[in-house]
Amino acid sequence: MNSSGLLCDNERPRHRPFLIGVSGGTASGKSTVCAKIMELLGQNKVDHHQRKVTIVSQDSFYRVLTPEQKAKALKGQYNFDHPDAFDTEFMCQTLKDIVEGKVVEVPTYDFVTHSRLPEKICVYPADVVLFEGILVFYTQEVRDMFHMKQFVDTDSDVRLSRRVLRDMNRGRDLEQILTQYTTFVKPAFEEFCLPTKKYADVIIPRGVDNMVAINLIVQHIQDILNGDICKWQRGSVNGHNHGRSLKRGVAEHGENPSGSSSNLTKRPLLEPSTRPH
Amino acid sequence: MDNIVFEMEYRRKHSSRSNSGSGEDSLDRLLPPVSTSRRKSSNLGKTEPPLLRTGTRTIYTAGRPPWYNEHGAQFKEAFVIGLCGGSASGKTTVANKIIEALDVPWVVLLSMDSFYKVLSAEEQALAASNDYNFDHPGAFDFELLVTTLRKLKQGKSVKIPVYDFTTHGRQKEWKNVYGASVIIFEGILSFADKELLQLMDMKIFVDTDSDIRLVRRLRRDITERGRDIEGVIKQYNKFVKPAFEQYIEPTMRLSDIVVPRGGGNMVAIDLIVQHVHSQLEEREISVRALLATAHQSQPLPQTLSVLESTPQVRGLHTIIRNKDTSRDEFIFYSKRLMRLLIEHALSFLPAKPCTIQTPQGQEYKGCRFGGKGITGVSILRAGETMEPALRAVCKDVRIGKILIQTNLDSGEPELHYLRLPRDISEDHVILMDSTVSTGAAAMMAVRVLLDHDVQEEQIVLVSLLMAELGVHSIAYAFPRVKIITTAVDKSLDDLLHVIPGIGDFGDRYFGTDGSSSWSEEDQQEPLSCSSEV
Repeated sequence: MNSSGLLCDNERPRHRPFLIGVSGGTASGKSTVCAKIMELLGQNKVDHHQRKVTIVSQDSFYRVLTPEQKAKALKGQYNFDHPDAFDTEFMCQTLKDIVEGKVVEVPTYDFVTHSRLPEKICVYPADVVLFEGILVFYTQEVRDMFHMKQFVDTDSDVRLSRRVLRDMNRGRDLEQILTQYTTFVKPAFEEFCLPTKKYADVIIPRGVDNMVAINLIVQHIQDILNGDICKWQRGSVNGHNHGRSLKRGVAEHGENPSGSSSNLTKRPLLEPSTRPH
Repeated sequence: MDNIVFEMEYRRKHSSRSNSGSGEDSLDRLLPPVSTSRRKSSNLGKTEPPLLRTGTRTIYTAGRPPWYNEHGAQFKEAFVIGLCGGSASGKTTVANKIIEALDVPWVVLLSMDSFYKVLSAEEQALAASNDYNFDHPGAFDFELLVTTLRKLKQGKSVKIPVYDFTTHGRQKEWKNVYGASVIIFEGILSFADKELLQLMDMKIFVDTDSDIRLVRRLRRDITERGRDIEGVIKQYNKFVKPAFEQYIEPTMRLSDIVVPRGGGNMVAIDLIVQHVHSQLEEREISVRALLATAHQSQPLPQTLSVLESTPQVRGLHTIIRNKDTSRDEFIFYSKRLMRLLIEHALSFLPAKPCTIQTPQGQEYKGCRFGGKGITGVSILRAGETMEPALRAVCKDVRIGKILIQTNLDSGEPELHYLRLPRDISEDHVILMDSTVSTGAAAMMAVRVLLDHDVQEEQIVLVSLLMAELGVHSIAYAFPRVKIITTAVDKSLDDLLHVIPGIGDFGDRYFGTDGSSSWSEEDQQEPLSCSSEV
């Protein structure tokens, strides 16, 4: 036992975070769910350097638009919901750096000028990273990095209500909002985002109103932040390469006898099938 | 939204003769154009457009084939299609595309929107602030809805309320709907009532994505109706969406077919249209051929009354049956005979005792008309010739018209046009046609009157000349209808014309048989009134 303990201490990697992907349609409440999780964990008031849980948004990784694309975007004729609208390579590399425990800089995207601002956000090493966006499960390379995948499943008409009210407050015209929705947002959701729902480990119907599901997730993250993180990391000791290590970690996690974890992993099977769109 | 198959017009009792004449003239213009070189009926062919539009009226020139059998009873109930789905799912679009694809009349669209309940003052205030739930079953008058749909399915004429969405009440005048072989009934809660469901022969659920329905609703309410966006979204999330999920979506399982994507789904719509075509064809039957072989060697019915064959009557018949009689003489003597016929028919109307005071101050025990009112209904085209005689004899009579023409391909009568006075159901009806051969057209007209709740025993059919077969057919199907004529000929020829007959009365009277060169003005000559000394 002494030898075993010593081995564990010697090989324990430092600041290897637990990655959670949060996906869902536009205005489904992904950001709100993440913010609520932070709030319930008491992390929203902690200084960035000291945070154990942090949020990264896929919105930061929109491509810089060409002048022609900018002109289209200003008229509501650019498809921001298509996978090609995102800088996937940059996004993937950033996530790898986060997994390796590095400090990374994330761009700030300006939705008015459709370009990246000079200011960047520093993401410091954390124990848990929430990465949210409409297409975070779309690319397999990114999808496979997550230790847990959540899909916020909000009714399409509720999402439209929110988007209409949000865009109206941004001074946009109703007809433009509705046309953009039916032309780009809805088709892209149904083609690129909705099919990725099947990869989710947990589906959260009704979004932030679903406090049962959110509390369950918060409890799980709390366990990770407390003692259980050793169990998770101990599992990776047996691996010899990065990829295999991740897989074993997930497998180990699945075998975790923790009631909360067990309940969480079984939940998708108990979910009533949602209405086909 | 209602599809009104017929226009119902109220003719004032005291309209002047000139107004009536004007009405007749305007009606003549609604008929298909007449070519002097061809018989009018030959204008009806498959290449003819199905609609004839003039002013505010639309007349279907493709008539409704018989919907009843030789017993006079409705052969088959109307086929009812129930259309359900959320608000703005495209139910009305699907309904209209079905109607458009069918391209036939006698398909009635009945909307549940017409059956909202009248709101109380308190409910009105709620509605004004978007706080009244129009999507709850309690907002609808299901009792009236079930009654109306059932009567319509039975072939009856019905009245549909017209709901005013501004005042949240019903307009004073309701709409009349008649002549449905297929009924398309649409509404968000059309599957919510068990009795309604039992009346439907096919149930279709239009399943459109909820966000698309919200897009349409936002466009309609804000862009078209100028409502406030937050109010619309508030109402949607508070009433429309919960009602859909609680009352509408669960009924999807009751449907026979689900049409995803609504009005744009032409594959599903075509499939439905094919089925409805089959149902329409099942409701067409041949009546005339059946009539032609029925009732051999039977005594004439008791309800028949033939004008006494006096020398005067025989003299008039001699003139009008003569192929060499000129048109003006034909018209003159026909009118004389019509007058005698009408006078005779009126003697069959009910009377009740009535005592009056004479100028000498003495009592006279007489009688007067015992009914509520008298309506004359002419079977166009030829029956219209008898209207002046009725007006001359019967003061303040109301007039209705039924246009029935023979389909040259099938030989069957077809109902083309209907205009009846309002509230005809308690009147005694003088049904007028110049001649009756098989009785097919007269049977159709009687069926129409019965569908408008006229009592059978209050119908008097008057005709200048009838074939025995026609008398039997009508008496067999409608044994309480009185039949009044001036002569009954024994037989029919292979073309079902009366033998010895009178020729085509309408053609001879209107000069449309091509042999007359009389001017248009002659047709408008005033009623001649001969007095015998």
